[in-house]
Order: sequence, then C-alpha cells, then structure tokens
Amino acid sequence: MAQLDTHTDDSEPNIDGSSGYRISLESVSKHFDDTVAVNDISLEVQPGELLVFLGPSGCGKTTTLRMIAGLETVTEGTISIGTEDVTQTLPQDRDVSMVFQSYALYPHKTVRGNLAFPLGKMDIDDETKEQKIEEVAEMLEITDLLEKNPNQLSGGQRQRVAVGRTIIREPRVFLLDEPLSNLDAKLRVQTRAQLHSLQRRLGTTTVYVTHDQEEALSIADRVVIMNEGEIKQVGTPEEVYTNPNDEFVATFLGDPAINLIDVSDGGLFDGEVPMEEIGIDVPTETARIGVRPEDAIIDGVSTSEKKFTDPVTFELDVIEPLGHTYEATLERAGRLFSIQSEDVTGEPGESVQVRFDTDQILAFDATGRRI
Amino acid sequence: MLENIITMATQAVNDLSHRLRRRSIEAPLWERLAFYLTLAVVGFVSVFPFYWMGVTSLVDETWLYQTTPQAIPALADLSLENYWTLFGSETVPFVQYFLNSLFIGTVSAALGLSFAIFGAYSFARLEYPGRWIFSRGVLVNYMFAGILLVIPIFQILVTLDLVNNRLGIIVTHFIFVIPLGLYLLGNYFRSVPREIEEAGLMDGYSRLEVIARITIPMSKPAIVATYMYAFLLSWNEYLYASVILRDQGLYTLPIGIEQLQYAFQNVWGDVMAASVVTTIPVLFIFLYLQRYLVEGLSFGNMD
Repeated sequence: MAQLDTHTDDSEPNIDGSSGYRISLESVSKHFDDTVAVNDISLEVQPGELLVFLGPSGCGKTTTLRMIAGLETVTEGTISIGTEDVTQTLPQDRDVSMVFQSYALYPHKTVRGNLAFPLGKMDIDDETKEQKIEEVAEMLEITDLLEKNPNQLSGGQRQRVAVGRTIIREPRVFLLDEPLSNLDAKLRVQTRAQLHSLQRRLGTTTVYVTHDQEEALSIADRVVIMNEGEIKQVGTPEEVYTNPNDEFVATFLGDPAINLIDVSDGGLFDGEVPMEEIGIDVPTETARIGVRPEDAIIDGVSTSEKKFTDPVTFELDVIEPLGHTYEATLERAGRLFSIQSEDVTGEPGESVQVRFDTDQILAFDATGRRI
Repeated sequence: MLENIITMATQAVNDLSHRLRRRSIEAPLWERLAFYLTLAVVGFVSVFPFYWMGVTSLVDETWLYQTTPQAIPALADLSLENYWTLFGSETVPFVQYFLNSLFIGTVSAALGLSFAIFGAYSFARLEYPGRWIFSRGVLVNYMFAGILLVIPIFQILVTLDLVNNRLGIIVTHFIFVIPLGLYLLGNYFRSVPREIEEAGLMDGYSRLEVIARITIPMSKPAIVATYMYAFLLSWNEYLYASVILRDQGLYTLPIGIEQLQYAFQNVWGDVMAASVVTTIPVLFIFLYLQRYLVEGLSFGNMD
C-alpha cells in the first residue's frame, strides 16, 4: 500500500526517509484515586520508530498506551504527537489507531464492514473506500474472508482483521496493546514477523505494549522497560539485555533468569570464594553480581577465546536438553544457579567446576543499581 | 409393506426402551414421576383459565349454566356469536378501545425506551457524582405498590391539565416504563465489551456516534425485548387508566372490558371474547420476544 500522507503540514522526516510522527511524553503521570499507575515519565518516540513497552502486569505500560490513545485522561504532564499538544484532545480527534488485546472487532459487522468503519469518517468517495479495503485485505491475505462475520474467524484471522482496521486509515500513529497474546505460540512468532515487516514498510510511528520479553526484544527498535509506573530503562534490545541499568531490568529480561550471587567481604558464598582470587574484578561496593546462564560454562567443555574466571565448585542438580542447547541447574549453599550451554558434562549429584565469562559479569550495589 | 411397518415399529419400540433405560440411569422412576406430576399440576393451573376463556367466548351463555357442567363443549355448541356482538355493537366502541391501547402502548414504550437508552448507557459507562444513587434508586421504584402513587400522580396530572387525556396516560405509563428500561438495558450495556466502544472512538467516531452505530446495534435483542415489555406493561395496565380516563372514547382495553358488563346482558361470553382479542397480541409478542430473550441471555459468546 502506498503511503498516502494526509498530514504533510507538520510531518517530520524519518531516518529512512519515510514520514512519521514524533510522540513526546513530558512528565506524564496517571493516578487512579489513590494509586499511582504511571509516575512522572518522560519519553520521546522517534518518527517511524517501533517502540515497545515491556514490563510485568500492572507496571503502567497499558495505561501509558491508553493515555497516548486518549482513552485515559492524563493526571499531570503533556503528550504531543508531531508538533501538536494532544493532552486534552478527544481520542477520535487524535488520528491514531489501535489494535486491542481482544481485537474488539465489531461483532455485528462483516469483515468488510469492520474494515470500512474507520473510513466512514474520512472524506473519500465510495470507490476509493472499496479500493482501500481491497488493498488492505490483499496485504493481510484476508480477501476471501471479507464477507464473513468475526465470530466465524479463527484467532489469527481476527488478529489480521484488527490490524487491517488499524492501518486502513493511515493514521499518524499505531498503538498495539498485546496484539499477539491471544494467539498460540507458533502463530505468535509468525505474526510477529509479519507485523514487524508491515511496520517497516509503512514507516508509521508505532507504540507496542507486551509483557513477553522475547516478543519485545525481537520486534523493537527500542524497548522501554517499565515497573511500578516508572521507566526503568530505554534502549535498543541489545542494550537493555547486555547492559541493564539495574537488577530489575537484569532479572526481568532473560529466560532462564540471570543468576544473582550475593557478595560479602569481597567474596561469593559468604566469602568462601574470594572474587579477586578467581579473577572477578568489580567495584568494592558491589553487593551482588549477576551472571547470565549463557555466560557461564561447566569446566571441561571446550572454551572459546572468551576470558573466563577460575573455577567455582557447584553441585549439579539437573540437566535438561532443550534440543539445540542444554539447561543445567546447579546448586551451592542452597542457592540455585542455571547454565545454558551447547555442551554440558557431568552427572546429577556430582560436583562440577563452573567458570564465568569475565566480560559479562554485572555488578550491582546494595540498592540494586548497576555499577 | 406390512413387514416394513413391523420392522419400523420394532425399531421404534427398541429405541424407546433404550432411551427409557438410558434415562433411568439419570434419574430414578419415582423422581421422574414426581417431576412430571408437578409439571402437570402447574401446567393445568396456568393453562386451564386460558382454555376456559376461549371456551366461554365461543359458547352461548346457557351452556355455561347447565345443571351438569361440562369441560368440553360439543362442536354444535360453538359459535362466533359473541365476537359479532362485540365488534358489531353500537354502544361499545370495542375497536376504538383496541386502537387506544395500541396507540398508548406504542407511544409510551417508544418514549420510555428512547429515554432509557441514554440513562442506561450513562449508568453502564459514564462516571458522575450520584450515579450509584440513581442506578439503585431505579429499583426502589418497584418496591412501591402502584396504588401508592395514584394520588400524587393524579394531582400532578390535574395541575398539568392532563386528566382524561391520552397524553396523561402516556406520561403515566412512561413513568413506569423508564425504571424497567434502565434496569434491563443498563445490565445489557454493561455486557458490551468496553474495548469495542473504544475501538469505535479510535476509528474516529464521537461517543454519541459510537452509541448509535455500535452499542445500540449490538444491543438489539435487549432493546427489542425492553420495548415489548414496555408495550405490554402499558397494554395490561388497568389501575391508572381507570383513574385518569373518563370518556368512553378514550378507554383502553382493560377498562373497556370492565365496561362491557354494563353494556350487555349475557355478559360472560362477550367479556371473554374481548379478553381473547386482548390476549392475542400479548401472545404473539411473547412468542417473538422469546427468541430475543434467548439471544439476549446467550450474548457474549464472541470467543
């Protein structure tokens, strides 16, 4: 579909030349009675960017999206799209469109009726409308579903109709609220890729909300990690994964989760393993170190050219083959430690020697901040 | 040929015994007997008055006063005499009653419904101070016996000069339709997923347009059901109509039927013929309504 830009008046150039709109949130807060859902967040969504809000449920990500949509009022702060302040603008006047988690298709209308509905408020003739419906239907491969009712469609088909209804109007901004959470695992991965390439092609600024980190990291240009109404970190998927700001971000991302080991008196495991001796170099105020499961190896397997620490003794609990890789659970002093590696050796119950990739060790202070 | 019939009969008997045996697993015999017996008693009590109404309207008064009463009249005893009397009468404008009831019911139900839609929507979706009081207060209305309000309402109508006036009775019925409509529609609107309305807003439509183009079409079963309930409420209403309406030309069916006994001599047949004519629309409405009630109750199966 050609990008028919109806908003040339204040459009801004995008990185790849297509037009998109910037979204700015300045000190935005949202209170529901006594609870603070979103607490003073400021953020810029770049023109044409696909920005993903990621966080546990109740972290305020959906509320933030709904404030951009205009479906929730803003308690404090301002939201602007392009150069226009939309904080007080009604949702129907914001020229943004949204895919809802439940898809929210109109059950009393056919697929064609659903797609045509947003066009009803546009100043275009019937022929253009028909043409747009055909184009979008073709693009999403739902042409043969046009005369069906939403309740006759499968989950994946409904999802595509919902996406179609969102893009047909060519709005300034797409908002997607957990658009894939009602699909089964396989379809989710496939649809995710389709959404991604669709967004690339249209070049429309997109805000995407999900609680699924894999989804977020795979699709996002930049990820916003939220917790308890606050932004914890903003960055590219790579940045937030390898370079987390704090323990929350570090533990929230990654499956299995990052291993956190308490540090006392410059040593691990109540000082039993002095860090200096095994070659871990972290600031003195370090209260915990984090090692991702893929950044540790069981001694004895072939090592690459990475730099590893001296071995630390653990007891091997379980080895689970995952097909392309193994996941091993180890234990020491009642603490579990997981390793994900292409190669593991040893039998459950045995003592094994574990080495950490020195470059990937993350150090956190007593408040959980990364140092 | 005969063989076929025998095979089919045997088959049927087998099926039946099979089904009976299967059912006997579900509930023991005495339980089923008790169930059907109760059903029969309740069924008889509710249906017999209608049957008797029908019979009385079709026979001559002398048949009713026989020394040995009969439950089923002979075919020869039946006639449409009472109906001819009813519709052919010069003194009783029965057709006029029918039209009055139809007009008052149609208008008061439509008026009530159009107000109730917006009120119910506000209960279901909008937030404003006092909403709770309003939405609960509606139900309090039903705790009053209708007769308690006769005098206040009558006084209001006197002040407005609406006594003995069709508008007066329409306004009165409207008052009683509103709470019913608010209650039924409020519940239904709450069952319409909020996200579907929000999708309408995101698609560029205002709140009112969303109500008109999404909420109301999606609530069609509830709206039709509410309209018909409202219509029946007005159609069957006796008390207020008898207090407010004075001129015979304005009478609705319930008071019209009452007036019949002054107009005719062999009154039972005529009264029952009038009752049958009054009941027929109700019957049709309920048959039609039933479909919507089922639809209304099974709503929400989108997923």
